[in-house]
Amino acid sequence: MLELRKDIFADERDDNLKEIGKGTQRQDMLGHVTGTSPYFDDHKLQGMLHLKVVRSAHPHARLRRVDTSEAERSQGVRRVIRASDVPRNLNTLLSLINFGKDDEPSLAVDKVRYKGEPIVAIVADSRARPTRRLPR
Amino acid sequence: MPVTVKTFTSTHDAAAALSSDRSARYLGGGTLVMRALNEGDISISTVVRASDHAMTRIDATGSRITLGAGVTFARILVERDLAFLHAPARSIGGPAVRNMGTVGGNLFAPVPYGDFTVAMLALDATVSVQGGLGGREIALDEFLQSRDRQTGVLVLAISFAKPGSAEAFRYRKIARIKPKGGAVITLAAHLPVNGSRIVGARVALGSMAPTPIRARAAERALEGRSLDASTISAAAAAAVEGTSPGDNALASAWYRREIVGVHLKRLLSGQE
Amino acid sequence: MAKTPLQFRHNGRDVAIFVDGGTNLLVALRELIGDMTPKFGCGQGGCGTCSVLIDGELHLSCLTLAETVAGRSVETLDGLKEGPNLHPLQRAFADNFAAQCGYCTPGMLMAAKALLDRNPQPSRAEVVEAISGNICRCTGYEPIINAVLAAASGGRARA
Repeated sequence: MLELRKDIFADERDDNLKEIGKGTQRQDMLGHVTGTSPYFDDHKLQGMLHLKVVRSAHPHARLRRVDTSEAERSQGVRRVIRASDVPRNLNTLLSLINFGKDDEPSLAVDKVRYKGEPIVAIVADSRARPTRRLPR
Repeated sequence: MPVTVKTFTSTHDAAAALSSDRSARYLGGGTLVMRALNEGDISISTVVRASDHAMTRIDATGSRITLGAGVTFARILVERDLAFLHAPARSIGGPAVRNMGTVGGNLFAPVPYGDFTVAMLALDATVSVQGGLGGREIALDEFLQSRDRQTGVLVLAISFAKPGSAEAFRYRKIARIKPKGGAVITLAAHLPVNGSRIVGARVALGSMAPTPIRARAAERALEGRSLDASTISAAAAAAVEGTSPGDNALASAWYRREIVGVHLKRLLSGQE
Repeated sequence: MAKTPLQFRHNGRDVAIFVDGGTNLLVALRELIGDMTPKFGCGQGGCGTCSVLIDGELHLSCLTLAETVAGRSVETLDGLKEGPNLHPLQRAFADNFAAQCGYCTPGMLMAAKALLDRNPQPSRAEVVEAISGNICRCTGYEPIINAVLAAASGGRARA
């Protein structure tokens, strides 16, 4: 018979276990109502960069030419990532199970197949950098 | 890319700055221009503002009402003389958008927005604009037809005759999300009555074309008639004429064409 | 490009910063002042989580050009607490489970404050209208509406 060691967690909770029929405050509630709960967007790291994705405005279109020259010249832009920079998308379900057929590129290669498909990713010092451009 | 913000005390100088720079946009309440900047619109490199108080003036005492372009919807909602415009003003955004969005900016709002402009169009409003060379008055109808080319002018105010009776002006916005949502379609009608006949009927539609438009065929069906069942049916049947709605996430063009007559009928017959 | 000096009142305290042209108030608050309570949601006026009060009026900080608040008073959720104590609205939100993931909560609380400041005893319909510009994807709104009504009818009394 296992002995219930109530002394170990004595500080963590009172052990009268009379919870039924009573409201219990959630642990994260105080943070939520005071706006202090940290979210992904609230992190500020040393040397943090921001990535923005330029997406297709068209549901189905050929990519004739991707002109990133203006983005590359923009102040604060560190790197413009194009499809050729990420030839393999390691993040699709199919590639994770070694299915073999990898037809979901991270960034569109020669054709976009849905409105909003990623085409170019721009890494910059701050999020307030231009992320426009695109052909048809 | 940071933009240059230029604030002028005189509307004349602001208009000159706008007309001399193709990449300049006038910032009213921010709900259109700041949104474009947040999305990284690099076609805007200068933001122009004017602090002239005339831009935020409401003159609603006489029979002709003038609203400064910078008047917000929240201000219309507290103006007792403008009670007939409370329905269109309230149909826009949530409280924060109504505290920010302006009458002048609404003239440029793309589908599914721009509900207030539909009301203005039904009231045969006139827009006062200041260009680089001088000021002029332009009918709202005409202004909207050339809206894409109007970014170089500064809208100062919009004015219109007050409807003779509360009954004469009607407004209806069809939205899927209540109380806040983009319009499926928006309808406004001004039906001044002389004796028992409608004289000077105006029917305006939103989201039935790239800009708010007048339903001229429906107006013709109403003109000179009394507002009875057969007149209403004729106007409803003509509502779709001359429209060119588009598809968006709220409704398809087909659906908009199907329902515009139904809702015009309800608007005219006073049904909820 | 030259930065523009900007002074305004932030939760009752004078602040002075330098902003790039075109910076929105949300970025100014979060990145330059370090007040992380207003959140970035959509950046286009659709969600309301960036809501702040400017001179007591509810505004969307992401659509407000930072320079336009010069000399004005900006209130955020960070200033809602009354010293060490929660504001009655915060207490009511906590007691009524009006937050789940919590991302909309800063905007909801500011929208609710804007309502109660000018209408201390709102009807349910008025509460719905007041938070209509704020999107919540977790709660289904009912707990939030109940919380605002509870705060209005004497949230202080509830422990």
